[in-house]
Amino acid sequence: MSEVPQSTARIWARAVANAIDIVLVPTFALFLMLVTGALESAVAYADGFPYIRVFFLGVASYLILNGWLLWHRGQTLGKYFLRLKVVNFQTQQKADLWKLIFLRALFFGLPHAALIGFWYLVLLDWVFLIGKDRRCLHDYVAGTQIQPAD
Amino acid sequence: MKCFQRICVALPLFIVLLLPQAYAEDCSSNTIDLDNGFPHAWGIDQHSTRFVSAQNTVVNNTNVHRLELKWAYGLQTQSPRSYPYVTKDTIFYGDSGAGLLALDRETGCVKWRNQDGEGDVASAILAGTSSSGLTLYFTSRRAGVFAVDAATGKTLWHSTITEEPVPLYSGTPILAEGKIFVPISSQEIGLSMNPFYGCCTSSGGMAAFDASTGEQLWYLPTIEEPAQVIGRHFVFVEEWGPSGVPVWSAPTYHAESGLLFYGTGENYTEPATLTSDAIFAVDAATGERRWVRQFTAGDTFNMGCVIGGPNCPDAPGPDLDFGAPPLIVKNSSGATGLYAGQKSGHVHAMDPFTGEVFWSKQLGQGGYLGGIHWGIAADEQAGLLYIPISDFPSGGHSDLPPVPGMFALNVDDGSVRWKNLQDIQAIDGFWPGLSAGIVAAQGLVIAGDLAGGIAAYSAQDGTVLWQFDTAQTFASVNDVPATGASIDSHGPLLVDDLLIVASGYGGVSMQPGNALLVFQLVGDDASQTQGEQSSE
Repeated sequence: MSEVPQSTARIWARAVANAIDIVLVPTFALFLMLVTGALESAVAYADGFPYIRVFFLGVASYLILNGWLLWHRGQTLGKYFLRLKVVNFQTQQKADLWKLIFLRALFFGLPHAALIGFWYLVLLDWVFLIGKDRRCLHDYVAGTQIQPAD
Repeated sequence: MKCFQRICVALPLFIVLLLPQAYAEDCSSNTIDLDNGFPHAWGIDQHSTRFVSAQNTVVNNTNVHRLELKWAYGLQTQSPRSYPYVTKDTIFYGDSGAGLLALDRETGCVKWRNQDGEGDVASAILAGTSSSGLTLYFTSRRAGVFAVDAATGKTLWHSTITEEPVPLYSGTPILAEGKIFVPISSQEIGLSMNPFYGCCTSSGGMAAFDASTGEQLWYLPTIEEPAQVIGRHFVFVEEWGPSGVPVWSAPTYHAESGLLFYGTGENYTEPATLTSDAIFAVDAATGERRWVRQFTAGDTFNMGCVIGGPNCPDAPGPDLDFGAPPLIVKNSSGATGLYAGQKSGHVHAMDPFTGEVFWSKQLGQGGYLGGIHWGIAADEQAGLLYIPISDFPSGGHSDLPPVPGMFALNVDDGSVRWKNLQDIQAIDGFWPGLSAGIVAAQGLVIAGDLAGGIAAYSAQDGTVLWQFDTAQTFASVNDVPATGASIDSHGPLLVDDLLIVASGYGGVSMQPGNALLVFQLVGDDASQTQGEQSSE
């Protein structure tokens, strides 16, 4: 592994940024649900609870809120407000968009899973922060690191 | 070599442990004698009288005091909603998520399980003969109606209706003329609690299926006009109506006229229709309405009202369904009457051919949990209607005081012959209302209460002949702790020398439990009468 200059983001800043995203995305999903009526009719519940519709509402909300920022700056809204950015750990350059969406964003649902009892998954993700690179499990999976934004 | 031996031992053991059907309590033999099955409907007979004749039970007012617990089975569900079908050696019973069980009548061991009901056997178990032999029928609340081979437990067919997007198969069907008539309610009653749900568009109804094939023959909704947008909340969420009018309970069939009778529930949303809280008479062959008699008008209510949600109608009604099937008996002059008990605490007597009301009588305070909740009974020979009153505190709408207890009414005019009220001044546990369905036999009527008591009342004067407290934990035949609590839903069954009842009901504010209890007459003449009947 090559030596890379690291001035990693503070953990509290990451937590606050994460908290902002955790609140904003479902709130926007709720708005999206209201506007589209995706969960409003009986047909949506014909095969039981409409988990797939809920999932796609969440994905759509995440991309609408964060897509442009992720693409251009490697930021979510929360990270934008806290002046943080996601970079490729190897190159310290802006991370690939596909990795941010298809690998890193997969972990975005964990804090919501904590609300229904799967808190230990969040713990598992965050326990990796104690390493010297200050990287969560999702950073290792996506090959990323959080840095202060310029 | 040692390693090989270990693998030889461990691998089969591992496989056996992984087999989902390997239960410690399974019977060693699973042969089933299908003769003498009973009862023939949720209401014991097609007229829903809940009266068991001496041909089908030896339990009567002279020997009921000799009932003793034979065995208890620990169900998986804490809200049993089934009613057994009993053959010479087997008790078929629905254990909700654990599926349909075939239990050995003597020991309670399991002969087979059918878990195709997708988790929620919610009805009495019916039986009829088809080309496959004896076939059992039941409904699963969300999955539809199922037909199962009684000998093997294999599913023969499974059907659902297509007319409603979110039907709820809550009531027990009835078998008649080669058809199975399935009452339909709607999951929207629960969805209405979701403030972002646009309540409500669906209707209750009655569906007829071919009992041999499961092919749907007709469907009659209780609301004929399509729902339209009637308002909005949260700017975007559309409110719809009319809706609701579910059919919660089993229908009643009158073979001579070919009519099917059933009661309905409230409208979920406005505008209220003329078909809510009503009795329907329908041609069983075609599904055409003959008449509809409404007893409470303008009753719009849904579960959104319970939580103060935005889906609650502006002027919610009292939710006074007909949760009990109407029953048919003849009065003293030989005229056929249709008798229906309502959650308002009223009993209504009608002409089954016109819907004309002969008399109505209010017995209890009523409320959205009854009043009269799950079922009434009748002894045609004695000229009596047996009316259990719950009066569980639940929005009682009348000025009458709560009177939980058993009432015997004269079929002719509704006058009270006797009553036996629960002592609500001395309550030190749960509310002792009589909410569950009841069962009558020669000289007695048996009812369970919400506090877990079960009692046999004399048909003569209402005195208690036998009672038992089921609100306790029993040693079970399947090593699952069997805890009794509220007796609710389908209630007790008398068959041969047995009394079968499920204790515990976790739904709608009641006390959960999971005890399936089988009582048997003990004593010399009990076995004698049983032997006499078997030899007939």
